[in-house]
Amino acid sequence: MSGMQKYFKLGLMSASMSLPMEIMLEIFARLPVQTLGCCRCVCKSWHSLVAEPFFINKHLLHRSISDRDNGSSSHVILQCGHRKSRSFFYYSLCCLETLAETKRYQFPDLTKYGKYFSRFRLVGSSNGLLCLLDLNIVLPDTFCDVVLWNPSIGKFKMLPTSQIESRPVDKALGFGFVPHINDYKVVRLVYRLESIQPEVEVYSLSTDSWRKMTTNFKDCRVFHPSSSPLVNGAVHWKAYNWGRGSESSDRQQWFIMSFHMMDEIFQEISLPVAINFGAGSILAFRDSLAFFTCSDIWVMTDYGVVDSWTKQYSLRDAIEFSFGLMSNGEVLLIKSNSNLVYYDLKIHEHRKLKGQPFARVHGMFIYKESLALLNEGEAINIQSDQVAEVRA
Amino acid sequence: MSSSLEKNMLILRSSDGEEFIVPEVVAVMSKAIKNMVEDECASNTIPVPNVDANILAMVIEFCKKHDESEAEAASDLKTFDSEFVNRGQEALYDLITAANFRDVKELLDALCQNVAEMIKGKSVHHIRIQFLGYQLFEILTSNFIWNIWCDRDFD
Repeated sequence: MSGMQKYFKLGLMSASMSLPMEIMLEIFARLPVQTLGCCRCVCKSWHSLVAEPFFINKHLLHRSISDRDNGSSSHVILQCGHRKSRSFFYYSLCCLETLAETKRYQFPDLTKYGKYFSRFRLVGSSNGLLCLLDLNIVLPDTFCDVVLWNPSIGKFKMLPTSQIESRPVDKALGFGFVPHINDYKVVRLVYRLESIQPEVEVYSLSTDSWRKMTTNFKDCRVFHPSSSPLVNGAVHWKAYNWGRGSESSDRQQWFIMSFHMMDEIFQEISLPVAINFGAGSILAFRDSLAFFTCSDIWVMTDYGVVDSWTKQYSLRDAIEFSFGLMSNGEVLLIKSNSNLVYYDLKIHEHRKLKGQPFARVHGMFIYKESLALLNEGEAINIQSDQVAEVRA
Repeated sequence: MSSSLEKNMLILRSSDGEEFIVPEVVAVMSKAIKNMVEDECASNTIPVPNVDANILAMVIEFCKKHDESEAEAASDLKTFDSEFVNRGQEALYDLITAANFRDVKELLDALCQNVAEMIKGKSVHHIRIQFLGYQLFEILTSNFIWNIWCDRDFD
């Protein structure tokens, strides 16, 4: 048999044996994003097939089902500072079980879009998309300050300019995927000097526009720590109530503010314990809301029911920390002082993580890859020498 | 139902005329056959066109195993699946077509997973060889721009 004939016989898709499209879709849905990138290059029909919105949804759905069934190891994405420069970040994808770095990403260079002095901070991760907020407040008013980014396919999107005109003093952001409508949403709370009430606007990726919304906020201030966990379809921030006087206890003053991404409703949830200023952090733990107070982890077993807060874990020693993350397996990852600490809740052992990429972590989130933004986003070309420089 | 057959048994006839006696519970793992049985348009012999005896035997073996081992550990079944689908390209192709045509969901899932494993992490070149036959592809398209495009983005 000549070489040519051999090749003719080999292919599953060659003229004599061609698999129907619905089978190809089934196969594609089981592939990781990177292999799908290769598949797109195989032929033109595959190229368009992978980019179909219904396939992107199918792929996402299949990934979440197989993740749930196999309990596959989850990945965490870390925003890390560079050794040499303070304003330079790289993004490291690590396996939570083994803590091995699997990939490194470079955030797109936005200087050609006129963004020179940006300080982007990783504030959210949902279904393959990362949400970054520019904390540089001294901005010309027309600049966008939120960027959505899909690192696994190298596409990003700068969100349009906010509808809120005046310059903000402070801002809080929530980001998440809304399964019912297959859409990503960003909610932004903007605080200004003139008033204590925030202005609120909501962005949705499908319409690609901001929409202002009216709120019934009382005098409270939402604090935006490094994360606003998405639980039960709502994002959560820690909030402080100004209106209630100092005679009331701390317990009433600090609470959790939630924003339901689908219904677009704000709601207050009481904390399990009284906390001091700034201490404690809201986490997501197995689809439940959790609260970590340096020494205890409280879990709200029944979402929205204040009485269902239960103390699930107690740490052997209290750990001062600035932000944390909880995986589905009983692992707590916290940033304490300048170190990242890995805490195994089953055997109550913790250890400091040393060396790159754990040395200068500024933000961390659970990450799951997807094909989101494949059609909408702008492509970035990462220069290989830039990556090499980071590794050096 | 013919009297010589036990209750709840069906006869499947492959495209090359061979007949298989199969318990109904096993046969109805194929949605297509299930629909036929439910609509009562099945006589005691169900023809399975497009599927030859060799492939039909494999499909039946798969269904039998899945029917028996419902209570068994899921991991055992998974090992069986991955061993079962580990076959040459041609048998794989025939099995996929049969599973798709007869609508046997479990088998189709296992087969698709197997093909996905085959190309997971492979380069564009490898995927082309696997699926299209590289030279065939070259002859059909002779599209060099396409190649340049690929190498730029993903390799």
